[in-house]
Amino acid sequence: MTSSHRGTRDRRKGSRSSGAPPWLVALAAVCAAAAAIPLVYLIVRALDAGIAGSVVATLWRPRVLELALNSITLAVAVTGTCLVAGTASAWVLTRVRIPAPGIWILIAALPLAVPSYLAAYGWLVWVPSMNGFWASWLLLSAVCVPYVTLPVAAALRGASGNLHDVARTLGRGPFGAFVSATWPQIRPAAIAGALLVCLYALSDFGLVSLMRYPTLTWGINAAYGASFNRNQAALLALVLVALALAVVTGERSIRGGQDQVAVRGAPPVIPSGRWKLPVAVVLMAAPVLGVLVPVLGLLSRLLEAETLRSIDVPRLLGAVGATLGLAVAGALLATLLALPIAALAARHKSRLVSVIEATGFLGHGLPGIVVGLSLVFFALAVVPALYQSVIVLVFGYAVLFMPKAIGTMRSGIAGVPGSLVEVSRMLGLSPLATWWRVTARLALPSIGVGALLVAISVMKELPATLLLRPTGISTLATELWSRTTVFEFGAAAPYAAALVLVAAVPAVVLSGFRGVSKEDL
Amino acid sequence: MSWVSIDGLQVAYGDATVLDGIELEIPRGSIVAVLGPSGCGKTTLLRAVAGLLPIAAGTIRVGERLLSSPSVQVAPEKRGMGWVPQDSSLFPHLTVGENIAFGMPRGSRADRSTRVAQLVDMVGLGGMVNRAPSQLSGGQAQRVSLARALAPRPDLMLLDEPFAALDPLLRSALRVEVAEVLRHQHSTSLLVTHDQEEALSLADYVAVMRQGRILQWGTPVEVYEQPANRWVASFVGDTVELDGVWYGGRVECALGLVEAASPADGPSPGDGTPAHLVLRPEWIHLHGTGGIDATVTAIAYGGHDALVSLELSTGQTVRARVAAPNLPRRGDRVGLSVVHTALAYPPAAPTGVPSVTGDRA
Repeated sequence: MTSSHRGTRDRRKGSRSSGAPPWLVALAAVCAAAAAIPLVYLIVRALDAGIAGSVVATLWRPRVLELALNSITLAVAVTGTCLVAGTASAWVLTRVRIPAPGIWILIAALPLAVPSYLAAYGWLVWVPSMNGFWASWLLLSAVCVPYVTLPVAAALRGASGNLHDVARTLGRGPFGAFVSATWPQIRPAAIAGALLVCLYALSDFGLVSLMRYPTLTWGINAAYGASFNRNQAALLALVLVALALAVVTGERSIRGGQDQVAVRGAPPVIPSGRWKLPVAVVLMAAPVLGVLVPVLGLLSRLLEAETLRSIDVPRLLGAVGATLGLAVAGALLATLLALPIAALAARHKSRLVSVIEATGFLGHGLPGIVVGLSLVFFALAVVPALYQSVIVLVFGYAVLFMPKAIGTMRSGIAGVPGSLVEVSRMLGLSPLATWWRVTARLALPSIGVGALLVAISVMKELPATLLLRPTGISTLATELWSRTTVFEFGAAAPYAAALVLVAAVPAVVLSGFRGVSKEDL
Repeated sequence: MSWVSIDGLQVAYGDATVLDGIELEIPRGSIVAVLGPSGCGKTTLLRAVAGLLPIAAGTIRVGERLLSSPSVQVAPEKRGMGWVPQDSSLFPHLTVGENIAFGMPRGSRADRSTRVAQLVDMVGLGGMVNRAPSQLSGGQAQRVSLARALAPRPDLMLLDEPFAALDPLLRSALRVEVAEVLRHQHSTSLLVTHDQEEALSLADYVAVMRQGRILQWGTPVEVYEQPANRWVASFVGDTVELDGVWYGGRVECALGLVEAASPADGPSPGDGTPAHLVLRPEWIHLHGTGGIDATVTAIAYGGHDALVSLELSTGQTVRARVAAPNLPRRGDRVGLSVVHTALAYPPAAPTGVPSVTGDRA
């Protein structure tokens, strides 16, 4: 058998065929282009406003530099902390015999369900004087650790324990064996997790603002609020985008690949007495700091008689309604935009398809505040009628959270065997009828899960909502925010509790589903 | 009168030509097997006929309808063909009955369910109409797949190694059943397989394929007894091969003077020229005495028969298929005779001849 024959056979066996229908490519390209609007428009705007000439000069203004440095310092510190703490807790979760390991995995994922500003609120209730770098670092780390813990735990479960044993017999100590044998196997997962942490830390707005630590996101909001200097906001946004893109590209180049070896799971270590405390600390630090303390703080305020008496029920219900309505609208639009891209990427492979898919994923690297700001400029300049309308807000959500929908739906659609599609065609069904009766039908659960992930993210989103919401519309997140910034912790409590109920609880439930990547929550 | 005609078919993936100059004429109501090793392009041929692939040159017609040419590619759903894939590919979200009804033309509910019941009975799955595909065994799933393909009464059935995923016992049983169903329905069928036994036992005609070309077309008997060349001979069945010299219809070799024929389309060899003699092991008979002397050196016991290795007085080894239970023992001295006209090929050794035992299941 010649190699060319083998090649063609492989192509046939795969469910991907080379020729994508032009209408699907066109449709997917249009959807992806929508996702590119904020970034493209931000750049256009920055160049247009004549900033280009003064960019360098402005960049070296002490204030800009300080904000950028603050952002970088925080992102680096949080990423490093999460890398170490997440790897340690992943190792404990997979390699140490602990009671009820399944429950511990779920607990380890919990901090992801809590929006960062909610964690900050919960802590401020206890310690109103908390502020600055260290507070931001501690809370942000606690909230972000699962981004590393979860993928590394998955990688460790798939990593061979043999290599560790071999390294030990060759004279390495326990730590040396971990570094030389186990770490290379989990490195890609750890670095991918670290990327998510780094992006999260760079784009976080709520937590750092509540902790009064001035980063770029804070600066963007401040400059935008002082509406006479929107060019400054655009410039800061550009700096932030550049940092985020640098992180994404950097991660691509250092992640590397590792050939999988035949796997034999490592037998779990039984912790001896003096190790029990450290093990418990590693497992519980993030959930306690990121979830337990804030939720208790929230409850303590909520259950105070004065709070309960002064709950403005209609206003609360209004915020719940607005939050749910926006979530549904955002999820629908994101799903609609993501569907052609996911369908294309699941079945076809070419350079053009990769470009379209990557464009659809842009929102993944763009901070919410940047998307918000850019869409404000876009609406004002291109479609002034829509400025401060629900349509632009929902569109912003769709751009930001489309990647979650694309990822989930793509794997769902790719999971429908190509042979079923062929059989359906051979039985006389047109491509569209086949898509409807076979592919979509079988991929329906993953399409639903993708939409739910988007809905949950929309409910938690703060900065884009703050920038884009029409006057008079308040979501749970903005209500919580506006009350917390003025230290009305009691008045904020009902909104925080409602947010936990509508967003965090579904997130936890959803994370128990098979095929749901917890990092998407 | 042929029903399906494939003329000068060429299929290419990019620069690689996978099928080249394929000619095939399939008579109405017959079962044709395309037999070839992995990667020979036989599944590509099937997919081109199904309309799942564009073709680079040639034409594919069914009846008088042009279905494929470089400028025409009738969509798969408009070809009226039945498709039975290797892995059965039942729709997991539909029951057995719904799977079978999937491609049936819209009509009254009663008509459809009568037809479904009929088909379910025909493939021997009565009472399983409401089962989910996950509750079926591999053989049952493949039967449903067959019934589903037959349901819209296709003009041509395409079967892509339909038994390859089944275990050997089930495979041969299902093979017989499927052949019966197809013949009963008077379906014209094109079956692709790499299993020689399957092709020979099931089909009315066999097309032997290699590296994108059809090497031989004929009935199973023709293909087995008069292979077009040495490669076909050893791919289609076990061979015994000896070098010898051609003398007008006979070859002088270690088995003495053996009656032989040269391939019909090849040049007739001249007397006294070297020839490569090919026989089937069952064409060599063993006797207590008489014929050519040989010693039994090994016996590969197969239950119903055995392949007996025999050393000739010249030191060469030949193998004979002997029906059980009258088997010789190792070390026995026996006499041999050749009971069938052998095949004589030019002596030049073609490359890539599969080993006689290694390639067979």
